[in-house]
Amino acid sequence: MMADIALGILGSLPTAIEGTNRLVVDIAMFFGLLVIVAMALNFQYGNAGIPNMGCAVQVIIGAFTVSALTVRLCFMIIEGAGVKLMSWASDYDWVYHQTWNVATANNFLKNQFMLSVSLLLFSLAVAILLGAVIGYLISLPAIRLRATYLMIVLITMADASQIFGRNIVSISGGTLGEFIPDVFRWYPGDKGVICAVVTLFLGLISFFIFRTMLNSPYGRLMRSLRENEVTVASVGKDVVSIRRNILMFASGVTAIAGVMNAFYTSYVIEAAYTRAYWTYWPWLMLILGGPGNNAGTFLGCALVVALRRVIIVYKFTIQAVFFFPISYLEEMILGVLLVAVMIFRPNGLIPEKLLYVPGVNYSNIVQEEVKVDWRSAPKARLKGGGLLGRKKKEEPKEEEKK
Amino acid sequence: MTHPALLMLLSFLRVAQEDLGTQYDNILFYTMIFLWVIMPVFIVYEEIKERRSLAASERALEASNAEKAKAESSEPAEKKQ
Repeated sequence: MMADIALGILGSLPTAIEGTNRLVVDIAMFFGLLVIVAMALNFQYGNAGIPNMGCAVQVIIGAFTVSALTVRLCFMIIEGAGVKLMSWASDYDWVYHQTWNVATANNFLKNQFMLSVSLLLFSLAVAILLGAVIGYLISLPAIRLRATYLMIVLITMADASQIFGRNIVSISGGTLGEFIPDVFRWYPGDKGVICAVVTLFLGLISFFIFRTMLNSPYGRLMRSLRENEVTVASVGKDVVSIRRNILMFASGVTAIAGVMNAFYTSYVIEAAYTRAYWTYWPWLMLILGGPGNNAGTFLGCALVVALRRVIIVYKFTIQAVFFFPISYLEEMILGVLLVAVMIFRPNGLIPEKLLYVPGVNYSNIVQEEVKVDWRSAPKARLKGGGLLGRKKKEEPKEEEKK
Repeated sequence: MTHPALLMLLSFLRVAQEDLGTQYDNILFYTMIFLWVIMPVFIVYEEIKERRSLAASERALEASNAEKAKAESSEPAEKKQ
């Protein structure tokens, strides 16, 4: 009876993936992707003060992991299972036989739930690992450079990664791009929904990981590094290794966005991983929401993603209102919002609050009385305290022994 | 006699197998909405909790400062006596 009622309610709800709901799925998917990037950026810049302008590098590493490694692994497994594929050994074959091979792979993966999930998990694991390696490489100049120069170096690295993708055909099919086998082919419904669910789930997990890290003593160390790294170094902390660890960890998490984007679009081309899209937009989200707190990052991300997707989906309707081509509107909004936020709300919509660590009673810490009476120190010095005083005291003892 | 709850569960599973199997898009769609909503809700809940705790600790600090000030002002009077 109750089951029938539940089914009745579910059946009476609007059919999921049609009309406006398609837009909702699209917004949810890109929210999931960009919130991972923005949270990792908040972790690096908002909490540790490392201005990472190379988010695109880390995302592109995730996408290249899928296009260069997962696709080859998938083809190898399929050939091992006895399915005949066209040759994919040379660069020419890799690009021009790609469509046929991927279509065959998709047919094979249709009934292979475990293999599909394994390929997805493999991609995520390798992308996190390679992202961490890239984070380590990024940290090498980061150790030596100050913030401004570091930003310039990271921007050029983002461009360099695109140039690699464009010219090395075996990575992502060069300028033609590369199709990706559908690891969600086993799902009988709409692929976009399941992809969005997985991405949001990964975003949720990364949020809890970042939250736990920021509430830990390491998170407080990161904030102190942001405030004054000289002080942190003076108390015996290794600033270089802290920065390296932060960059490696955040880079690994950012690479997840690249993997999920590759599987969502089923296509990888280096031109899709531009600096503007994967670096400047996440920065706008962070600055708009307010760096240093997750609530601000989420708010900024939700606002910007919704705005962008609505512009893209309703571009023909909006075009009638503007006298210039609507394709420029996104970039104009990016620039205008950045300038406006910097002028009117430099701390973002939700400014960072004082650090609160759950389980710590702040009133006790603040009220703790210092037991040492500093006023007695000058008196001690007068009586012959300090290094000289001790020497003076030791000398008479030796004389007494003699 | 079978327990009514077990009967209900069995009937739910039977219906789920027959009818719910075609509703996967709807189920995932609302799961997606739930995942999408749960993150900001949790963050807002945590923000409010943290801000309240900070406000409470500030109030406690102010109260202790006021008590200290009172004690300091009463100390000289006791010494005079």
